[in-house]
Amino acid sequence: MSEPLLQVRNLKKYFPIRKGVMRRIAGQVRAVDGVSFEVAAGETFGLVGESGCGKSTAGRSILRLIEPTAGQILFNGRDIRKLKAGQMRLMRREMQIVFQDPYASLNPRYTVRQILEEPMIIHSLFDSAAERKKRAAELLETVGLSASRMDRYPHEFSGGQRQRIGIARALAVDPKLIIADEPVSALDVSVQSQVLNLLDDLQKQLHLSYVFIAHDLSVVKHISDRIGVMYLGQIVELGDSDELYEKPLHPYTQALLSAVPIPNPEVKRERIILQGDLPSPANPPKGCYFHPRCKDVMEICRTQTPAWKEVEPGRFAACHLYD
Amino acid sequence: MSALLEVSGLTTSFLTASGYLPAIEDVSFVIEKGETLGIVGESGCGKSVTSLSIMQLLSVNGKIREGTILFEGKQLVGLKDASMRKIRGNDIAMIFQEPMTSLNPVHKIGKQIGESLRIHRGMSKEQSKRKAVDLLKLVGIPRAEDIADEFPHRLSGGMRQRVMIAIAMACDPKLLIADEPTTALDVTIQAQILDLMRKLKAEREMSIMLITHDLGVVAEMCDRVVVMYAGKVVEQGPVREIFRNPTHPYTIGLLNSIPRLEDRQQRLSSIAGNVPSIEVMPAGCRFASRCPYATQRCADNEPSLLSVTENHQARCWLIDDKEVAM
Ligand SMILES: Nc1ncnc2c1ncn2[C@@H]1O[C@H](COP(=O)(O)OP(=O)(O)O)[C@@H](O)[C@H]1O
Ligand SMILES: Nc1ncnc2c1ncn2[C@@H]1O[C@H](COP(=O)(O)OP(=O)(O)O)[C@@H](O)[C@H]1O
Ligand code: SF4
Ligand SMILES: [Mg+2]
Ligand SMILES: [Mg+2]
Repeated sequence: MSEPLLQVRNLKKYFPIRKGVMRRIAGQVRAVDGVSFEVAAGETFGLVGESGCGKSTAGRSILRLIEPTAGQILFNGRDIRKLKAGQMRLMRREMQIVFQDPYASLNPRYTVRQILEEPMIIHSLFDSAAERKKRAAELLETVGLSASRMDRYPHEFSGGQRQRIGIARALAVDPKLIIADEPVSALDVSVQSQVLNLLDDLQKQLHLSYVFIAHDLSVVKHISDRIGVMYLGQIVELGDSDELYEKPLHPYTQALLSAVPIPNPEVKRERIILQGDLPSPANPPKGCYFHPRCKDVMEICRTQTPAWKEVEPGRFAACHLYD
Repeated sequence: MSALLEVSGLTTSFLTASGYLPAIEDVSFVIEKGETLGIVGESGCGKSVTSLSIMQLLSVNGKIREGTILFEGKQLVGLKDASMRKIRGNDIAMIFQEPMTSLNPVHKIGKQIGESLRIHRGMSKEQSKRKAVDLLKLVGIPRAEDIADEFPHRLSGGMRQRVMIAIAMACDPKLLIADEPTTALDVTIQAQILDLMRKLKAEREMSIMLITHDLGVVAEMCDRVVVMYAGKVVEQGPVREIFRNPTHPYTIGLLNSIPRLEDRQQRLSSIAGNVPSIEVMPAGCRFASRCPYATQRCADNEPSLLSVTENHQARCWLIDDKEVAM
């Protein structure tokens, strides 16, 4: 097998908690606490979990939009944490991000054309304004928007259209990998499906890899080849997306799946209702982080951290049930 | 069963730069005693305007222009503020998507829950405080005594929504209007809140009007459903019937857009285009420009709600054509 495009190894991002007038460091939020996964060329890897579990922090750390605390990020075999600023800027051409909120992530004072040309200028991609304009027009058509609207402002577009503009901007520099952080979470289902189909088409056309971050398991399962389920800064289960749905290994994955409402009134099922809220990543529970909410909790779970292991071929979990 | 709430011909308009424009038009539906009615549709279809009209909580530029809202036979449209206040929070309670906007950040939680008890039930401060703690327990808040003394920002989103439900339950409402109560929450917390609502409804024989854009939530919670599009009711009927036999192309489009956990779909269906804004409501069927089955007739004339079966209606010319064909 060829080398994966992206390898994330034991990624950590801790945020300091500062207290008092002296801004003394009083503790740490372990937003991402040892995350590892790989993404092959042309593959979609999904990251799913409740809000606050560290998905966005992981996504941003991978692109070094925030500096990771520890871990390795290999892109095409190169450790990007070792790159200097100039080299990193070049590397950013290969890895782009699309954000959840198309309203907040597009500069309202720029026209769509300016938004799309900005990354081309930063990366000095074209020599002439005419070439950049031509490329901007192509990009708009690629994402299903009419090039004739390129001189308009973001607020003149609907939510779904703005998300298309965000995608076009990410594509402007011909990346190999796109980290999509909740790209459809703010959209109505009817529009969400348009954007999901677009991402799918673009992947096939341009042989893109995606890290697709979302809290909605049905969306993640639909688009992903493999899925990592995150809980309190860690991946607790990882595997092929259909297998993960058919037979979730980790009790957290089981609970997450069973919480998704099924749009079919004829289906009645037993539901696992998780008690309580997500604990604070500043002060995670001892042993298995999930044990206070776990229906299968055993004595060992309260004190010992479960090891990450391959439970079945290609299927990983960290849970004492599989010791 | 008998009607608790009867909305007929409701039209609510907003004053805009181009004068008064209707946001919802000729909306009619009934909520029976003990029933959960779902209202579903994309954002901007008029779901919130419908619920705010019932509660008479429209913003100052909004006005009910036509129609009646009968609650236990009593007309709410045109009711004086003072009389409406006796009903609101008492017989009819409401919860919203974002609890923080309706919770007062500077008042302790116990005090906020007790408020309607003091107003509607004439309870003393002491009595209302004790009842507030009971209500917090009822909605499954741990350490209820301590939480009653906390401020809202100390709680998580799920806990705040429980507090909102506690406030809503204070006076034993006959109708709970819940406007996207779980949209801002994680699925795991949504499951807790929906479970709580189901339990409370069963214990108290309350009716619920549940506004959501999630057809999964409709399928799990509701007895009947009203589908709204661009300010109009386009389909309504019992939930099982609507899911088994969706008839309006909009309802069909919504159902087909959902990614299904249980299937492996290569491609999702979607509905092209967007909900029109109230400034540019099209003539004819409002869905025509997005409808794969639209004909000239649809563009020219607006269909009325036509019967599909005895208690299932849809606003679509296709039904008419079927009847002609039969
Ligand atoms: N800049 C920051 N400073 C301190 N804590 C942060 C910061 N960004 C995120 N966090 C915390 O890190 C955790 C993970 O957040 P995030 O990555 O946004 O989660 P998700 O995207 O899964 O919702 C949360 O507890 C959040 O409060
Ligand atoms: N205060 C207002 N002024 C003007 N237009 C409004 C106002 N409130 C709602 N609208 C319009 O009414 C329509 C229905 O809105 P709403 O009921 O909030 O939709 P939903 O709750 O289904 O998302 C939308 O087109 C919206 O822009
Ligand atoms: S390790 Fe124990 S507590 Fe953690 S998920 Fe597995 S069974 Fe539950
Ligand atoms: Mg996030
Ligand atoms: Mg609304």
